[in-house]
Amino acid sequence: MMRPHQRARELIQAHQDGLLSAAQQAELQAHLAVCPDCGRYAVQIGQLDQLLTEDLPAHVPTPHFSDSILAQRLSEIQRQTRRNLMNQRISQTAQRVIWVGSAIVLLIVFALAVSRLRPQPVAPLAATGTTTPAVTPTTKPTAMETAVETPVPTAPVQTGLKEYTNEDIGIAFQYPGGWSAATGGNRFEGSDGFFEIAELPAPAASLRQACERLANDGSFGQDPAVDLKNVEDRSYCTILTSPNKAEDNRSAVVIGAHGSENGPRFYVLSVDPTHLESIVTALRFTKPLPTQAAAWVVSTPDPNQPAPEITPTVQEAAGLTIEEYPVVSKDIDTPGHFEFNNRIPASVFDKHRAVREYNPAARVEQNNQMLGPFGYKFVLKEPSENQIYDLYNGGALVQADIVSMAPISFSESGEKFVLQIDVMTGESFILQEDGLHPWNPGEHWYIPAVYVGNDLTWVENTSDMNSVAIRKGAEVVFNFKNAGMSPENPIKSLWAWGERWVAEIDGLVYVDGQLLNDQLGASEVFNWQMLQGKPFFYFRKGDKVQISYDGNVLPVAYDDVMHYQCCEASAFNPGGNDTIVWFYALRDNTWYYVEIGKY
Amino acid sequence: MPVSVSLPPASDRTLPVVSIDRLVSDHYAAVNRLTLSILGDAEDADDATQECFIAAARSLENYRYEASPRTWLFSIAINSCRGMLRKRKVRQTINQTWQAAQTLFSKEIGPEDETIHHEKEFLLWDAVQELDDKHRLPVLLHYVHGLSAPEIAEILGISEGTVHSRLHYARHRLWQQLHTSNLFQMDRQEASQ
Repeated sequence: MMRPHQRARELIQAHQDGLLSAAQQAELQAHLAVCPDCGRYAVQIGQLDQLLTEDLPAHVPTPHFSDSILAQRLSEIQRQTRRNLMNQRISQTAQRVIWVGSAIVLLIVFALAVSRLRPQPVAPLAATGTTTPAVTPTTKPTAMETAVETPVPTAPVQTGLKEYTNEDIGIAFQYPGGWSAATGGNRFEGSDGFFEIAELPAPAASLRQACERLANDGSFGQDPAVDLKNVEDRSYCTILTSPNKAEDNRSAVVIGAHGSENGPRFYVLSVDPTHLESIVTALRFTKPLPTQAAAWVVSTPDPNQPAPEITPTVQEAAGLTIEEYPVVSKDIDTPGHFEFNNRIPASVFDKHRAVREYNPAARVEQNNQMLGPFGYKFVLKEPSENQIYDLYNGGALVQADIVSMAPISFSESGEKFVLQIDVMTGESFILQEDGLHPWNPGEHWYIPAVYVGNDLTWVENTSDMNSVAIRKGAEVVFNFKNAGMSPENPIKSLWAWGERWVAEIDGLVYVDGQLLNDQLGASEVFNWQMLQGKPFFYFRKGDKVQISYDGNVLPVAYDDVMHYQCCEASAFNPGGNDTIVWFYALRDNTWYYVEIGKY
Repeated sequence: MPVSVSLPPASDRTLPVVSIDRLVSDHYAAVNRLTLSILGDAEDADDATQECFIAAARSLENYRYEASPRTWLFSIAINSCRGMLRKRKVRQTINQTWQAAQTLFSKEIGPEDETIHHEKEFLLWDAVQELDDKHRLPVLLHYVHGLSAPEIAEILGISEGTVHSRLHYARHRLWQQLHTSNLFQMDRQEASQ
């Protein structure tokens, strides 16, 4: 058991970083009230933090670079980059010569290959060097590349390590010399551990998603540690099994990302936990990712030229009307900047504007109707154009200055409800049948609570901000570990679908904890929502994005649908309400603006 | 006239496209200040900064927008600094005898000394420099460069919890080293004046 002073000092440090819960704060205060030594420590740590904050930055002057110096440095960077590129090409040419010379051997190897994975264990690293000219140090002069050069040719011989290289995946690392290949050739093992490589069985849209999908498949326990990392310009991810999960010795895994002409592929390097760190430390990527970037084109339409009228393709399916407006070739422009919408005539947006656009007054009116039986009423403050509301109950003011409110969610019985409101001071609350309760959106990943059946259900984050938990009533029903921090909220939405909850996290959609992507064989499922009380969502399968509504796949498919965009481009993410959805999609080189609804 | 720009694959697009020109104009000074704070030598810092941007230019097409451009550049810069520190360690070992002889006759003045205006600042800076790299880097990133724990976690490739525990440990080490000095006493005297 931790000694009280040690515990208090840890709490003091956590307090300094604003990490204490109310209960821990009370515990600390109680200790400080009776312990002058820890009180002094608390004061001095506070002073130290202040000194570090105020005085330390002064030790490092902020450099000033004139425009001409910056231009000079930029020119040097560009020159050096070109030189590196040239060296790389020379090296690749040399490699091709060697490959041509070894053509017969390679043909035999390929003919015998039964798997995509072709590991090449090489005992002395010096021998490997002769077969992998693409990673000669001369093409990598930067400090980052110095890290790649770290395993010098003689080291493995001295330390008894062997080098594993896999040219298909483009990785190399060192492993204990006593290990030998097991059947199949993709696994190496010894008495003290193992590693094994396999392609990720399920499709994934990105490294982050691949990593999160694997980490949360249940085989790593409830609380795996997931981290996205970088070697040079390549990302990879490590997953450590929960500390309390000991029955499976496949307790640590690295995912290596590798692109191909058909899209990203991902590999799982399973390692026993003892050797994870040493193998990851020596991990190198031996070839760059193939260039997959399409040439996206951006241009601005002439503001003086009104957009020409567009005739949509209209069809009916599953009770919905699908209207596709061809806007522009992808060789001319790409949605993602505000001017793109100038290519679409106002008549297109006007057609369903009344049902598409959010109308705060209508929402308040609807909320007042539904909350009437509970005695609540929102009243618009003057001047009315500011759209600020006061909340009353039976004539008594409950809360003033409400600036926004989420949709109301009712329990199945209709006796309970929850409604998040935000007030001008920046505070938020949830309104329930028994009154107003404080609610900190940041602790809930900014996702409003909903009723699932008769259970209030909400999202929680954890102090390390690396996981999403869903709590239904008193019980945590779902835990999801994120692959490190991201500027984007990992969880996009939480929906009630009758008795079921639906959570969308980074392109993975869970229905009552079951992964919808698995059921569909989809690499990505996104923008799940209810439309006319039925589920509507987009999913990527192979190289097409399709749409599902009420269990039917709609008769439209796209090469891409803009989604999960940030900043200005977020204006082009799919939108929707209970009547209509709208999105921007690419098909056969043409960008479409699409509206689907029931009118 | 259409302008071609290169964006990452559709599934990875989350931020607008960045160019090396833009990275240099927006972040060069900040990266240089970071390398200076780690290396403490203006010339080495310049070299590390250039290496960082050369590496960034080469990697730009594979930049996956997993991090903000600044966070991404900082993580590359720290790798550059680590390489520089490794080289420096080798140099230092070779020149150990010579350096020892030098210090017998003259006190070496580093560029950081020029900015020291106060004894307590000297004590504090000195104590921070004596931390091992594992704990010194989070302190520099947090207190000198004003980065948050999530940003530091992303840059150093560690969890946010680890960042906090390293900051906790670093503050405790600094306190152990300084609480018997006159650092806090000076504060009390200053406060009473």
